[in-house]
Amino acid sequence: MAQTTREGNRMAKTADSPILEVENLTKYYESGGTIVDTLLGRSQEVKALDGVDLELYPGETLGIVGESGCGKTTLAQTLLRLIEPTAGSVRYKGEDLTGASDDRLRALRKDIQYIFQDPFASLNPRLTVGDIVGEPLDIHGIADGEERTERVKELLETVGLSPRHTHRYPHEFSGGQRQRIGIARALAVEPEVIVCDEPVSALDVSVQAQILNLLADLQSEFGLSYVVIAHDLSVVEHISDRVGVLYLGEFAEVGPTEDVFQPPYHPYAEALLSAIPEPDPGWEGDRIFLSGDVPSPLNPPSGCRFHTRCPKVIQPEGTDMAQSEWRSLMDLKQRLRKADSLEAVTAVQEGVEDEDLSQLSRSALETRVRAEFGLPDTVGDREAEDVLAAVLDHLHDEAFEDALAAMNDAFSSPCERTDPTLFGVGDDHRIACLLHDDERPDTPTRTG
Amino acid sequence: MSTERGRIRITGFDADRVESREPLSDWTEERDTETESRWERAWGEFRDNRSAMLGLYIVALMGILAVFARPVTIAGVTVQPFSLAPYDPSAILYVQGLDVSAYEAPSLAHPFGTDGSARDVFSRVLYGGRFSLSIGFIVVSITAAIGLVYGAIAGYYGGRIDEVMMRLLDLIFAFPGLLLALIIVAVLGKGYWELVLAFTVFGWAGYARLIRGEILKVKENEYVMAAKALGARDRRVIFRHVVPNAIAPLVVQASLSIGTVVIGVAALGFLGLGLPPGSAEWGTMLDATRETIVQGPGGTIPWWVTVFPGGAIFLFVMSMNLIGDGINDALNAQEGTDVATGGEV
Repeated sequence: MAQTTREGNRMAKTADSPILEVENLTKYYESGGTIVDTLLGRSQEVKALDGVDLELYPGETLGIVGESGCGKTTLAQTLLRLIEPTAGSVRYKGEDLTGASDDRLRALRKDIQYIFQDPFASLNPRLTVGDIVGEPLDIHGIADGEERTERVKELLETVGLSPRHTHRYPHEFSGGQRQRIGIARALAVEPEVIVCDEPVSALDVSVQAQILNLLADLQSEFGLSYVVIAHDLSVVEHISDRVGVLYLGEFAEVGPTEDVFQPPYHPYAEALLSAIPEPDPGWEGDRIFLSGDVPSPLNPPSGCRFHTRCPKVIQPEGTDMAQSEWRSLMDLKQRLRKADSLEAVTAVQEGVEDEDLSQLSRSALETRVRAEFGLPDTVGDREAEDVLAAVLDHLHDEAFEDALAAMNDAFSSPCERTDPTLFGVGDDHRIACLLHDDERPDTPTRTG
Repeated sequence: MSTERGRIRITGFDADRVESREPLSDWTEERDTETESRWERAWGEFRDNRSAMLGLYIVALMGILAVFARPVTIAGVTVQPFSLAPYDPSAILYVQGLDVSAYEAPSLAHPFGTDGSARDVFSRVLYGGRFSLSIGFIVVSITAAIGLVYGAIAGYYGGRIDEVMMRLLDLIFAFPGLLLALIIVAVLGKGYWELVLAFTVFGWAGYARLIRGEILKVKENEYVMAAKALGARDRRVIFRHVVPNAIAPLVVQASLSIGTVVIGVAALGFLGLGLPPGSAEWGTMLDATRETIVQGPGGTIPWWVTVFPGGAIFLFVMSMNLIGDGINDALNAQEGTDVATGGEV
């Protein structure tokens, strides 16, 4: 049955125009500087969301995944203009939300609603459940008096709560029940689109299933369209028709759920998917571990934003070595950018403290550097090995800038220079990775 | 893993068995009691606080005595016919042909004695409560209301609006309050409403600052954004979602300030800048008999003319402070018997 709904949605998509269209949505936050910083022009921008495009079709569920700090919540809130976007547009049924007047925007809130992540913070502790659920009815003048009471009871029943709970306060409910109250509140205005910001991440696993089922039931009953933000891939896989993978404020991959969860992958999506545990005791789990941390959105990497951690970062033309060695060399280069001491580029010796690394011999230093980055004794590519030897010489002299310059000259990936757009790799499936760019002359194997 | 979209099916769990089994306890949905609201619970806490209840009884008693001291007539119609005070507070008794002289010591006929103009001090103290109590409550309700709105706007909108409004507040705080009230009375003249104005004009600044700080904290809550997402207007968001969650400290502050205002009124009265001389207001009564504190007529000190009005001020202010502390404890969520404290949850 699930399969038929999905087919139905596919059909609808080609026939209908999108209900929600987002173009180049961008949100930069001013990084907290003092007045003096602002005057001196030193203030920095956090690029929380950088040019996101998406469409939502009537009756479908669009899942958006990504790790913490990649801009998921910012995206959800700018969709409703709960946060003013820096640039870009959101169109609901062709009407531009970003340019709408305050009054028009208030009226549009009847059509687009929001479910919050934390059911413990999103309900006013001073209002009874009846007042919380009835509030949208008051605001938009939908119902009052006896009709309002009836409608509130009906809404509570719709989300599986007892109408007897009308006069209770939020603190008397469990997390799952509170989230149901939040859903009832969103439903009160009979919206067309509901943006759910991590609707189940604050809940117990057993309750998560109940809430997700409730959302699915409500969708088929009222013909709702959902944008569901989540960091849990198994949740997204279960409820979404289409999935967007967000990385540092940009989409890495967008497509129908089964396409995104199958090759071809964006390397980031592949790493995320490899982390889903299988309920199988024999599961070995060939997890892909990403090197390094999430880069700061204050100063996102040039080119492809994922190149600093990508296990498949592209080798320049004429270079031919094992991918893991290439990745290690890129890591060394990134580390050198910030390095000002030998501690930053050498492996830590167990049990040794306050070691003076500048006293190490050239060969000892080489061993330690290779250990830190997992480099073999000789790198597969002869030219690369020569450059690495020169870099180690510089490091031995503690000439970090010379070492970095040597690395930059020799090892430069196209991923660092070119910001990939979303390349189509199939029916409605797009991946922002140079590996999938058919225009590129040296496109390596597509599926990796 | 299934890639089928739709409901999550749970296997190995038989819902019918759970519903048809023996009940685990004798709980039924019908046995549920209604929840008490925050104010109901706070009132319960307050009632258990003996000193606060003592304060409440004293203030209530003083209020009743003040109201029923002399008949109240509005537009020629007597709305309150009772008269607990035996004499008219401003009547000079020997002029009325009674056998009373000035500075008569307390006796059965005059429980608090008489003052320098042979007026009955007991009647005057009872009646004087009308001035002190009403000015206290009126000033505090007006200032708290102004401060609430001012602080709520500054705190909620923030940014430049907040900056300008708060600098204005700093300006007000730079003046010494009582001195400012003194100047206002000196300029406008003596009188009841002049006194109210003198204490109101700048008295709201403290409340504004207090409520602004609370609102800065409360407005970050997600339910405020939820209200905006529902399409609520700013006014509704502020007064339905932000203010009710920020008002508790204001209530405490206001109840404690009533005493301060009454002291202030008495102080102005004592300095001769309160109500017109001869009024039965407690501070003014003290002022009129000031010289007797050191050396009274005929070498004796008529202690009753100062002790009874002064005692009335003391009793009222102390009772208001007890009430204020009681409210503070009652509204504090960490207090109480059925509420878990921080570490227990």
